[in-house]
Amino acid sequence: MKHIAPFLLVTKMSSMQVFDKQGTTEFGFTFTNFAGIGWKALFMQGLVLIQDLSNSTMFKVQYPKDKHWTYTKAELSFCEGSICKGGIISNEHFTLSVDVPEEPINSEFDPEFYETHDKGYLCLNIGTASTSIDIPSRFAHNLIKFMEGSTDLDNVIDVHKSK
Amino acid sequence: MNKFEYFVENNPDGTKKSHWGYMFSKDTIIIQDYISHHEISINLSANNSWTYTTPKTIETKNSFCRGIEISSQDYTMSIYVHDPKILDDVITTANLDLVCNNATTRLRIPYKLAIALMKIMASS
Repeated sequence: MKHIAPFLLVTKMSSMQVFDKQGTTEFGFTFTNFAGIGWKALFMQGLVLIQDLSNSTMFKVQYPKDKHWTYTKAELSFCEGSICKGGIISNEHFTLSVDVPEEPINSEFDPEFYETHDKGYLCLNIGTASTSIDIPSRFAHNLIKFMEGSTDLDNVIDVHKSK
Repeated sequence: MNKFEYFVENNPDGTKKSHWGYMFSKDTIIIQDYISHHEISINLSANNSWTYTTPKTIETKNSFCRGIEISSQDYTMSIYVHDPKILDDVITTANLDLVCNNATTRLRIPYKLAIALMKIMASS
């Protein structure tokens, strides 16, 4: 990929075909976190759309329907003092990457604190242009889970799925 | 313009309401939101200069929508602001759209920042 947010150090990657694995041709969901911030994601053959519900931020990529994207798992990296996991989907038309700090594994873990204080990062590269934004951490987790091939996501409503 | 310019708006209590930085140079365009950590960057090839156009102002129910576009063979970046018909109405945001190939990215930006960017785009 041409651009990764400078605070990320991705060292090794592995790939798989999400569409081959899942057979999913269409999937969308709406997400709202503890702070009431809502986002919507829609993945279709030929279209990726991610936007916040206030309609102030939007990523939309259209590409030929037969040009399926490929998922690449990024190994753990450091971002802003935390260990981050990441996922990347790409084809010849675009690269979309998501990174998010891992949830700490301990008995005092507070999901609400995590969601309101930790952020995820979304970066879109098209040709020589790149756009990166912060997104809610749980939304970032959901995007990565879907990119990995799962449609069993957390805290989502209005799930739309078809094959 | 080869250095960063900054745009800051403060809240009544002195805290930063918005804080942006932007740079237009021969090689790159960068627009960054330091509070929300949003960033748009475009690398320009040497022989691929952009031109600007000012689309026709569109009248809506409550406002006049005017904008400016800069484009090259790789991308089109446009900024649109809504000027209210009733002067008592305060509109504080505008839209920044970046279109590359078949991808569109949209960020909401402060109105005064949009006016500043439109002046730069029109004067280059």
